Amino acid sequence: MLTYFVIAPIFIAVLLYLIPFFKARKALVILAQGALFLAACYLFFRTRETEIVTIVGEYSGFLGIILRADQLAAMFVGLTTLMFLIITVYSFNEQKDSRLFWFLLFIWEGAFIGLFLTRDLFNIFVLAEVSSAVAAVLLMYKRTNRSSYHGIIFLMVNVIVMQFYLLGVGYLYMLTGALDMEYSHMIVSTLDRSRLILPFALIMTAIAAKSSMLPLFTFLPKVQSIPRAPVSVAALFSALQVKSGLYLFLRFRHLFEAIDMTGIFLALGILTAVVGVAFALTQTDVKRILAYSTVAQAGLIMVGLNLEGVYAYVGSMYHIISHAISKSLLFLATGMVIRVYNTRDIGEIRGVLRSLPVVGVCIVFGILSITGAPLFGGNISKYFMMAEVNLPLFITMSFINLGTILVFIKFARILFGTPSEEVAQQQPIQVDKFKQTAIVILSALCLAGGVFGPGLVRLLFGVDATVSLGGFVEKLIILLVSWAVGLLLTKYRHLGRGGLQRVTNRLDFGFRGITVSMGAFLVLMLVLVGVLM
Amino acid sequence: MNPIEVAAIVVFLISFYGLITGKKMIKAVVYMVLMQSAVIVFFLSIGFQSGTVPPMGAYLEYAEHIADPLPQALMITAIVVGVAVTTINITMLMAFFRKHPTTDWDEARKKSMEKEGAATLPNLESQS
Amino acid sequence: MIPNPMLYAILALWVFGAVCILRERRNVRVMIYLFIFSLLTSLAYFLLGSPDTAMAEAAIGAFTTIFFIVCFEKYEALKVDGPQPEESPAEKRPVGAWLKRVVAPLLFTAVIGALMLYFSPGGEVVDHLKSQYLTQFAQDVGGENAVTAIYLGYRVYDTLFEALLLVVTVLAVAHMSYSTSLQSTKQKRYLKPSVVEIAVVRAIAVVILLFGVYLIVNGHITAGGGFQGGLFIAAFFVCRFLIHNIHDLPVYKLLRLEEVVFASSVLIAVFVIFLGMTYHLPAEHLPMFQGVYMVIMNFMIGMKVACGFTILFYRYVTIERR
Repeated sequence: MLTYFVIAPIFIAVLLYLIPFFKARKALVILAQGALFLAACYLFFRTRETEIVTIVGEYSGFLGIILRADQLAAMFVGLTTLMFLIITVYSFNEQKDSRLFWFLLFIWEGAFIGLFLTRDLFNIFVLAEVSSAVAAVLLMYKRTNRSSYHGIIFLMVNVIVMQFYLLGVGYLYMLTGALDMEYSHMIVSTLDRSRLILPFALIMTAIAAKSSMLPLFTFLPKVQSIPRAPVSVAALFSALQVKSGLYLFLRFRHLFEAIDMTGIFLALGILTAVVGVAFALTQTDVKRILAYSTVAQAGLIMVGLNLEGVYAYVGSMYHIISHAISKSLLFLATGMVIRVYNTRDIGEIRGVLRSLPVVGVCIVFGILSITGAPLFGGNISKYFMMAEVNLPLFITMSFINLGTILVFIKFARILFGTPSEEVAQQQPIQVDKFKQTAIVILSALCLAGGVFGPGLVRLLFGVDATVSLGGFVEKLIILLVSWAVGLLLTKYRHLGRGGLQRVTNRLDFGFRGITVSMGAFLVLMLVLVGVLM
Repeated sequence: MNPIEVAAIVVFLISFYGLITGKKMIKAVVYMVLMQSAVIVFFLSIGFQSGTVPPMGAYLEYAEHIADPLPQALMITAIVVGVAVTTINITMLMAFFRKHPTTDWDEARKKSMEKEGAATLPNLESQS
Repeated sequence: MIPNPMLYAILALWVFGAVCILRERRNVRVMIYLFIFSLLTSLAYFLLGSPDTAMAEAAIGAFTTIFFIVCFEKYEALKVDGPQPEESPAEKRPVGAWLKRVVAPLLFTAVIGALMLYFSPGGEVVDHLKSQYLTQFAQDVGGENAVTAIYLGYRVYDTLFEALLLVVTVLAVAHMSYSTSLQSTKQKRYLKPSVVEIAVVRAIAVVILLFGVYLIVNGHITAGGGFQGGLFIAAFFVCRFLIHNIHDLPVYKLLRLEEVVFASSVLIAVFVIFLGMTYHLPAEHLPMFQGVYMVIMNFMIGMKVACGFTILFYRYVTIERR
């Protein structure tokens, strides 16, 4: 059964490329996305009872490729189909003539779903290569942005890092004689830990690059802000590409249970979050601000995943969903703003609330959700993430959240003021109805994620959690204080210049810098695991 | 530790060294090809003993050491995947050379910073 | 059976080839070294007991080299456009820069290498699956080649994705490369071969085509298979280009054909393997059915690869010059 979740989008993609009838293609696009989303919901409710296992070809033992859908995988598949459905609505009118766009979009969806369902080490390699190649082509196939430096770097770094991964898989195959993760897990747990260090380090290097962890984070944000690349693709990068790295991290942490690296990844997450915030503060390009904020949030999720306790885990899983929704909302809405204002400079966009009221309100929703305001999705996830932590970590995480608030105070400046002459003349401003529908749906989801938060957590993770009033008030006070501090700071200090700018310029690597940091990360992992055990 | 594994790792690291020191963009793609070959040799060396024969045909009946067929099948896939991404990379590089006449990573970075760093878009019909 | 010293000699040459590529500055030589390196790799694969991989690497190495040649050619054209500053030889640079640019990366790489070799797990290789594959493949999938049985049977799911990636590549190259239109290329003559050359290429082309078909049809019995055979058929079209010297293949029709072939191979895989049809058939018909399935699947993959690489080649050689 699970195979069809992967094969169906790919088959539809080929059909879309081959069908000559324009209307049939349009209908197929929207119907197929809707059907996939419904099927994913059905899959999720099936997995609540039991794990679904599909052996491709019904071969005995572990000879074939085995797909497994547990609740985690089903949740990611649901998120994937939801995001792609919304992106389809968003680009329905804009890309209606482009066959290649829809072909690649559906293949990307199939590759993501496959990545979440498969438990075969080599299959992960193939799917990751497919997804990065498709992403690069989607960004660059247009004549106008074909020569993008950042797109080239993205593809090259991904290919190199997957070679590291493949080498790690080779060592793992040598040790376990199997490629299925569950079976390898059984054998790995009987092995001596010292034999696992090299495969662990190689695979973790690849995962760090996929989930934009500290030394390897510089290329993902830039790829999301390539000028004239479709903004929907950038939104999918933030919502799914980075998250797929985090998903793989969870899977491989389970596989390498023998090696306990919680502390290191906790520190890595905190550093990534801090550096991501610093980078976001120094940017002037609106898309780049959003993209670097994704790095910070990925770091925060990494922190949450490495904390102890069920609540922290549930909180970070919920944050993966709520961040995907709110960040893609912000990206898509910003895309509409850029289209009208014709600039990406944060200093030049003013008065979005006045010129584009619906889009402006949606951006407000997105900002409130991502900074964790009450009644929004981000609040619930951050509440659970910080529910059980000790004091130093609590302070650190509040500090990171303060950083996020600072970034979005900077970002929110585009909402107020009066729009420039050029924009004011464009009356009435043409707005694509499909795009508006997509972002309104996303804002509604942001709100629903907060209002029905505890209920959704129960539904998604089966964890019975209520938000206690005392804790809620405590968090609210902290949040208000952070907002006040943030407003004061931005009022009296001009952030993102001077020292901070110099630091981020230093850390902003080119291609060779990224490769060096790949090696450095590998050495770090090897040495730390070797020393710490 | 067998010598084939060492050779594979040495080539892997030679190409890594090339990647971190090489200045030319196109040579980076060449090093990527070398890296892929190194990984493939490593895979094929898993479980290799002297006198190993291919896992096919009449060998299956009498031979003592038969090569493991799984890594071989995987590596055919890896070769095709490798050539596919290499081709995409070369195409992208050619498109890049066309716009920015440079072949150097540092210069390319500077040029692209001038171009992509500028936040203002030149014309209205552009896609946001 | 296969002399081990030969394998080690080839491997030593292989490492040496990598060093040569690293040291070489002139692009044309890099290209030649890369081709030799690819041949050495192919030989090494063969001596490691894997003729299927060796054949795929030999054919793909040739195509990769062609693509690199086209890219280098553009690269050289660029140099003519803007005179580039002569690179000063290494010994004339100040010592500090030399330390920073050569010694530090070398040390860094050496540290990585030392750590990798130090932590290399070593020890006994576990092969649970190997014996299972070798004893069961003839019954489960059929044929006499265990490698083909794995990539057309046990792991056909992976093979589909790899074919998909090739489809994406071909589409990407077709959309992303700046190619001159069909009209103008018809008049353009790229190479001017002599009569003898044409005759030789014409003779070789037929051999190549026959060899490709042989590989596809016998892929499930001996070494070879869809990918390798498809590459040889694509090589036939390369020869055809050399003889007729024109660009007359309808690239977009070939693209369509490739997509259709891909879609039908997905359907075949779904019906035969994913639905587990080999398990639901009566035992007496099974071997014949399996044989037919493998030949058809190899043929489909071969056709797809042939279409794909022909498109890539034609697209690359007709790329617009600056």
